[in-house]
Amino acid sequence: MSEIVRIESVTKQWGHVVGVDDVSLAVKTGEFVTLLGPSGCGKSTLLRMIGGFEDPTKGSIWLDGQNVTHLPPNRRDVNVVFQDYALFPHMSVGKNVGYGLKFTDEPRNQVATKAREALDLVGLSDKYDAMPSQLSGGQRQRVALARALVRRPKVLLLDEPLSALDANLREAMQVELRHLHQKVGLTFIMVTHDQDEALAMADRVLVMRNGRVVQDGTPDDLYDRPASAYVADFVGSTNMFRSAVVDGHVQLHDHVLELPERLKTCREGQFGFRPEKVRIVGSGEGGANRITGQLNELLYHGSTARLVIGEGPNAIIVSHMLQDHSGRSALPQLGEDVTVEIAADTLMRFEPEAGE
Amino acid sequence: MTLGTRIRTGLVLSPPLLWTIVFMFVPYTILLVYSFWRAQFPLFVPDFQLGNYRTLITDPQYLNVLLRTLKIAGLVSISAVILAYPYAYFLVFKVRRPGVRLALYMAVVAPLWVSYLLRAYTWKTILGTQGILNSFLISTGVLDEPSSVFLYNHTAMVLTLTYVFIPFMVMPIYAALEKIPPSLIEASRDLGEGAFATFRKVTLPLSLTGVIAGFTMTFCLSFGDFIAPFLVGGPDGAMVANVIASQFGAALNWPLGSALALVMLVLVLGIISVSDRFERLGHGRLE
Ligand SMILES: Nc1ncnc2c1ncn2[C@@H]1O[C@H](COP(=O)(O)OP(=O)(O)OP(=O)(O)O)[C@@H](O)[C@H]1O
Ligand SMILES: [Mg+2]
Repeated sequence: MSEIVRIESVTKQWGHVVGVDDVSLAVKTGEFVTLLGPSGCGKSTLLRMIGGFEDPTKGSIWLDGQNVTHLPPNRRDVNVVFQDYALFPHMSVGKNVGYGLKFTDEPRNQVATKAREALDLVGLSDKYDAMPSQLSGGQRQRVALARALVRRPKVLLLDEPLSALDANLREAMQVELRHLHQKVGLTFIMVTHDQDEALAMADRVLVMRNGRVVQDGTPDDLYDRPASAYVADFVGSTNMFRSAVVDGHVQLHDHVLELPERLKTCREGQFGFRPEKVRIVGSGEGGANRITGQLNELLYHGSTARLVIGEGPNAIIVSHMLQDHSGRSALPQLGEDVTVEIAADTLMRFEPEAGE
Repeated sequence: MTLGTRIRTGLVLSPPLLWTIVFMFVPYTILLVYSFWRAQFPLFVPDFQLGNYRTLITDPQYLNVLLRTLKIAGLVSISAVILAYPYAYFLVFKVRRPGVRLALYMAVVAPLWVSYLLRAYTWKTILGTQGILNSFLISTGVLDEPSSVFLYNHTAMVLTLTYVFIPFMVMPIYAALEKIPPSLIEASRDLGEGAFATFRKVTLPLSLTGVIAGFTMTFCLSFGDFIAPFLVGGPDGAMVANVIASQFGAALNWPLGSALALVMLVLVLGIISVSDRFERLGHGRLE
């Protein structure tokens, strides 16, 4: 696959405010990339620089081999799906979708045909003559998608496209966007602050923090091999603890845990494990890496339950899948002692981060 | 409705209702009645006849004044929109700092707190033979002696009225432009249109309601003005309001004055209802 977007050490500053700090990145044709990070980390700014709405302070942006760093938005072959959809309120749905086709010297009737095709693609062919104010949030979202896709841009940029939708619609649209991406075969770059969305939709996720990219990898890289405690905590949740390493073992409060082979020789540092990887075992069973503690809190979610074992800063969180038909009755009672196994190979170690 | 709520509703509504009846309905009814009376030396007598309206139509003097008033009000509105639109556009889209924007906005709106008469009078002192314009032209050598061409003509009236009423144009246009989400303008650029096409296809249509509102206010206010003609209009500068005033004053022909006032009222109401219809067409777009 060839490279469609290349960003070379791009920085954006407003006076002393740093929006994006020395970011480099390459996106391949047809990839679905998400930019993930908390509010204010610079996701939108980075996306807006690719779209041409912000001028980088430093660095360069390349689109399909062409340097577009200082080109205005109308001279870049990318299109944006805006967070508030930005549909023109004084034009019909059809006119909105056809808006961008006028100047690419399409014959007049071709404009209407293409607009209809694009609306068809998002399942709204019957809304051609409706006004945007007559549509629901989800329908507006689709019109915005159709309007951006109809120009067949080299890259489609989406800034939190689903954040204004309610939970059910959102999930349906995630699936639909994914399908659409496969169907049209374009490159998608999407901004989100929702980790589930990022993991579910993207081929590749860039986690951002304070204007920098702190990890760039596939969704399972992020989840299974987070590059830092920050990523581990932001993508999914993690039980964290600090410990020295003695003979290939670490200490979690007053329990000793064996490290996996790959970590046996490392020095003291920060360690963690996922609540989902912890297994509840019968209290009688012996074995390595077992911890016993009192069950202090239990949150029942239907398919899973979240257990808090131990107290205060020593508490660990366990996420337990409720399989079979056992359901809630199979769960231990509050106040009971519970034994869990933290398998050695689920332990992760994080390098201390700069400034911590 | 129970009796209690009826009484309460009545109590709440009665002051504005009373106000409307006493200060709007009654005076206009009196005007209407007077307009059918007949002037008879030395005063006028009750009658029911359409002679006053006939005079307004047949005597070219009145038609001329009416046309002149329409022309002046039209020119004032056009020059106001030509000045106000770019100014409001500049404030909303080009001035980044909110403090600066507010200051520039207030610079236009604040004069509304200064007496109208004073603001109109300013132009008399600017344009007069002893005025700033003449002294400037003399000091730069363009003129040898003060010229009186600047004052007492239609241009002076349009200038004065534009200056006096321009806040009423700036305010609604500013409000309309400010309401346009920036993402719409970005979307247009994103979809391949340049800055000018974006203005023509997005910004202008979405701010048209503001232009219509401003145009209507400026037009109606200048249409009914009688101070500017009086101060800077000169001998053939009289507008409808001046003629009405003189009918009620020196000419002592209240019936004719009443008829003229009613014609004017109908014209203004007509303009307002037309502009209202236009505005409603554009409404519901930006909600
Ligand atoms: N026009 C601007 N002027 C000054 N600072 C700005 C401007 N735009 C963004 N910033 C700052 O740059 C930083 C990054 O903003 P950005 O909008 O990219 O964040 P984000 O990751 O998209 O956050 P969110 O999830 O809240 O949308 C923020 O600290 C923000 O305050
Ligand atoms: Mg954002």
